[in-house]
Amino acid sequence: VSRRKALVSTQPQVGLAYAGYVPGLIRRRPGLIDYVEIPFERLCHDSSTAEVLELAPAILHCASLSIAGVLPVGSDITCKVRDWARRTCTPWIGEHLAFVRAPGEEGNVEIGYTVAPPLNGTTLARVIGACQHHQLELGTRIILENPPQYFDTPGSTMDQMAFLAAICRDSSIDLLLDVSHLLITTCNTGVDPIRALERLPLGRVREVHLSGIAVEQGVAWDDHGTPASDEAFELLRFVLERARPAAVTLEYNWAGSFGEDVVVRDIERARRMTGTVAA
Amino acid sequence: MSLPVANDDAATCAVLARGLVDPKFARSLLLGALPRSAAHRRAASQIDAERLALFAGFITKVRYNSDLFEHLPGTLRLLRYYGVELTAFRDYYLAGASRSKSTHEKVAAALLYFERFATSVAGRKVTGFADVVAHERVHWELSRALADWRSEPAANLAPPRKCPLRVIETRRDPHAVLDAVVRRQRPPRAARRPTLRLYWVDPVEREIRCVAIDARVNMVLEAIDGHRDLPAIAAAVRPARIAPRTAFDVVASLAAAGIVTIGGNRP
Repeated sequence: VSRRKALVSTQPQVGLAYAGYVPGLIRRRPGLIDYVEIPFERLCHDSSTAEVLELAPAILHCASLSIAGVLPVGSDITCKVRDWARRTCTPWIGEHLAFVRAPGEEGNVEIGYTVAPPLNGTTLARVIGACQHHQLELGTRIILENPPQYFDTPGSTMDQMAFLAAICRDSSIDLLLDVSHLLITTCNTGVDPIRALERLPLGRVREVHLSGIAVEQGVAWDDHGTPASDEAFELLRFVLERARPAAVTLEYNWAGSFGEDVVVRDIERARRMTGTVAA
Repeated sequence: MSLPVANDDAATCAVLARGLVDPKFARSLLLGALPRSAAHRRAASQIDAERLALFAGFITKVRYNSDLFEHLPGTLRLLRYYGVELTAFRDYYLAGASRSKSTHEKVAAALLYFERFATSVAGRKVTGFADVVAHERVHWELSRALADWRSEPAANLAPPRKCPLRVIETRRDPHAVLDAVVRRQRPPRAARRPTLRLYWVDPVEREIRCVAIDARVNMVLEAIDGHRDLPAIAAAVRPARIAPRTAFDVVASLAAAGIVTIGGNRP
């Protein structure tokens, strides 16, 4: 742990979401990536994941706070997130604008996956309140990730871009812009992705995510098992021409059909776009 | 922490959550049945039940991804190539079969489901699907069998099997089906008659090997039970009009491949 470096840089850093192959890749190609983004849930499930902290700085990603949910998160989860935030020296915690648990007839329901909430004024106030509360509890900044939208959520009175812009307008919460999620949402709602990006306060984007997309049954779906499309990289370019996010993360972390050469190719592509050179 | 919650939002989240974890509820939404509570009924009536079920299939796929990709990569590749991956996982979720926890449970349950899916209308559109599923089941079973395999002692003159093996029938060569998908070419035509394929674990390389065999080889293989010696094997296959010389040659070929050991009674 003593060898661990905090992620500090004035230039956009390029990293990879944790997957089983990542520690080996870092050993074989030192300096290829600047950091590893590690899901909190993976650290809880498999403590050996933390060994990668010896190899690279880390950003903690989380899908357990249910920020946009109607139920408060349990203190046990908050304690664990706080503990891992401290151990990883994460500069911020990326959390989804989503809920993972909800009230049920026989107790609370754990979905085990992030779901986009109703987008309205009440949810907006709740999300901002929850973020501010958790930031105090965790002692770490939280940035919010736009979720992929697969269907219209009843009770919504605004679209996702308006909701994200309102969060930035009404609070100091910054964004984790997943350009692939944005492509999915705009594809599924029939909106032009560039127009959507123009409606976001891109100066508030602290981190960018990239991954693949699959289309089935006429619907675009998130796919971390395929590489990011050219269109996703073009959206990254659009963002980088207008803003200076601190980090660009490739989420190539589902078992997939691409090899290390593709991962390296896309890291280098992202690095060329961010204008940085390998450490 | 006390934060604002609208009743309708709580109902929406509750209905969405239940639809994603309770297959029976998801099926009832698909059939147009609505919950009893007014708020839940209102939320449910505005939810796209088809899309929600597909989302449940997507979540199931993500949960199963790493376990299945390791053991059933060809099956997943075919489903994706033919654009029915989420449909398959949606139906898997709706059937209530997606509660497995360990890798073994997940693969075993998924194989059973995919074998059923292969006979469905959607599954029959996936060329070679049944053959690829059968091929990957054999691989999975042989990998597991290898861990516990103990070669039978050659105490008598019977040729013992040296490794775990399986024989399956396919209409298409599973490797050719998958190669065609990778190359985006037409899949091979189905053979008029099924082909027998022998799979075994190479005892030296510890790798699974596969070869097409004819019915005579299969009969000789079946006669090799660890008790019969060579003359008894030849006698056992004689009613199938397999000459002793042929039976001996088959055993010799199997021995050369490392599948059996010939004892002292050489042909």
